[in-house]
Amino acid sequence: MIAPALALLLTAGDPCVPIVVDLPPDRATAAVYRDVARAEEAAGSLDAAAVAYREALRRDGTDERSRVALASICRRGAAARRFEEGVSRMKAHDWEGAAAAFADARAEGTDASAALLQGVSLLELGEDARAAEALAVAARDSRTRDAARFHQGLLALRAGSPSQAIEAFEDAADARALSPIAMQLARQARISGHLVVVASADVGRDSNPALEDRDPTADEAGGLGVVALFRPLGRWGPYLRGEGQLRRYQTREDLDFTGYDAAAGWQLGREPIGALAEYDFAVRTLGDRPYLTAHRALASGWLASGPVLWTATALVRFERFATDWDPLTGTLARGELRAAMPLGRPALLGLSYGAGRDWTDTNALSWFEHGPRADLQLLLGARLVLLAGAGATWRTADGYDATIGATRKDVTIDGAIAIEWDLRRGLFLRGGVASRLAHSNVEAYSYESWTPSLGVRYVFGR
Amino acid sequence: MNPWLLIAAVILQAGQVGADEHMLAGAELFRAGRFPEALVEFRVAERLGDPEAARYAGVTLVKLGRDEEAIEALGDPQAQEDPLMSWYRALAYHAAGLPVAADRLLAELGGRAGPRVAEQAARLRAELAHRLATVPEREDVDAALVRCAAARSASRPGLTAAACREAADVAARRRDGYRLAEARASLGTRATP
Repeated sequence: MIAPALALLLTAGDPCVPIVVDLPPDRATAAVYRDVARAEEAAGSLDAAAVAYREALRRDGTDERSRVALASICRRGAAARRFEEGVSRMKAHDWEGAAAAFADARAEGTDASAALLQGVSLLELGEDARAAEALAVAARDSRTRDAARFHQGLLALRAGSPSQAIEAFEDAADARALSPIAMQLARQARISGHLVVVASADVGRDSNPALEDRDPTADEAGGLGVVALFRPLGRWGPYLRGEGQLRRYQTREDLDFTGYDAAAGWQLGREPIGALAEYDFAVRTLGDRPYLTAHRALASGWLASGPVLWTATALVRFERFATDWDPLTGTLARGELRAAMPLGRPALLGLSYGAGRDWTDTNALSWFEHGPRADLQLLLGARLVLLAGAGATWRTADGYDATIGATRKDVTIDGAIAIEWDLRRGLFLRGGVASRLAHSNVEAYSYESWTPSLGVRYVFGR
Repeated sequence: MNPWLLIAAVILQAGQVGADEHMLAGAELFRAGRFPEALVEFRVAERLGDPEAARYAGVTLVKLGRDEEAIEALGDPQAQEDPLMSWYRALAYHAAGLPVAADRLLAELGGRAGPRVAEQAARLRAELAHRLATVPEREDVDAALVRCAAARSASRPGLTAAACREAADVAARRRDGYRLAEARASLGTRATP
């Protein structure tokens, strides 16, 4: 009666090898094995289920139900083995081997996980068309949909289709694990297209619009802004930019401000290095009267070194002020060196140091300034970003100003903090406060101002 | 452990016509380390009426890492239980995250299962002692009660008994008696199989 055990021992190993009906027909015992097989299959134990179906068939070669069930388990087993091999190859960065293993796993079964990981492997290999096919299959299954949509977003970004990328990333953001990175990439995708338009509006209360040193009069203010950027060849190549901004005060109409800019530039490079050169023409009005026209040339270059992105920027601006402010007419030059680095996954810190020089015809109005600045972007959640910045500037005039009886020396400290909420579809809500503390050796130029504001921003990218 | 002990036990206990050969086949396969096949044979013997087959299936499930199923298959601890069976039961409790139950069983087991098992049991107890040295947090009591309730709703009486006993033991290790009455009350309510 030990025969079954010996037979099992002799056929040790793969339960999927061809079955030899080597036992006397025994349908009753075969039915018991089939019953055990079903219970094991229901418990998710496919190896034990396969063994039991096989034993049923050894006793009843006509048992088609067991034969079909065993064939199905064996197919799933083969697919599972190839899937595991694919995962191992992925871990070893063998993308080609992984893609082949996942393709085999898909051929053996219909598991969307294999399609997803095949798509990811093909994406790594740069085989975008095949990756798109596999990811489309994975995106149809609710279990793999979010991850598939995320990678479809990456694929669309690479194909230069920001609108498709945005849609895919925003879909992927439904998954809690993917949400922060997906929303971040959606924001980047939105500004990566050939045409980007940003429109904004805000309202706030300026505690000191006239920069008075004592007993300042606060005023409500509202602003509108629009920026349009056109890059016919994409990120690298020529571009045109237009900007308009408008600020209106409730009572201080003399401080109402408008600004228009038209710029053209060229950005060239390849990750991790790049540079741009730009010309900008600016017009400003103050109190609805002409205030300033300026021509500006700017050059900037950047280089990623490990996790740090280094940026150097220099500009020179030729300024012509309207009659009332004509003594300020001159040339401004500025330079800045900036390092930006991630702080863990959810934060980006920027540290910079800048210096500027303004030459005017009047020595007392010419100056030199310099100072550091820090800015922080902290992801508070998938759709909440904390933005903070602070800087200090030391400015010294070139010469003695007889009208104030001093050579002016100022120290200015700026700070701002805001929370921006991504409402999706390109809409952002922002609330925050900005402040400036200015200290001067001439008391009349010392002041402080606080401006809490609430605004909305719409970003269109295509 | 020595698998021959299991075979010997099977030979001594097998008595059901038809089930015997499957019990013996299961024991041989168990000895050969072919646990899925052994499990199938024990399950067949169980269906053919062997009263002990479920417990041997339980031991095999421990080997397969199917700890909660093992606890269920092993059923309630018997009075005068075979020491080897107690050892496997303790392993199942340990692997299933029921350390108090595992420790209690190992303490009762002592050296009854032979020197080799006694040595392994002593090592496991030392590991458990480290884990049980701290007073459980309220969250631990909450988690144990959740597990007790989950086993009950899954209609798994063996696991329910073990998980609810564990919840009561965990609660009893706190001085404030946090949810102790509730945990003890849960012991009286068994799952319907």
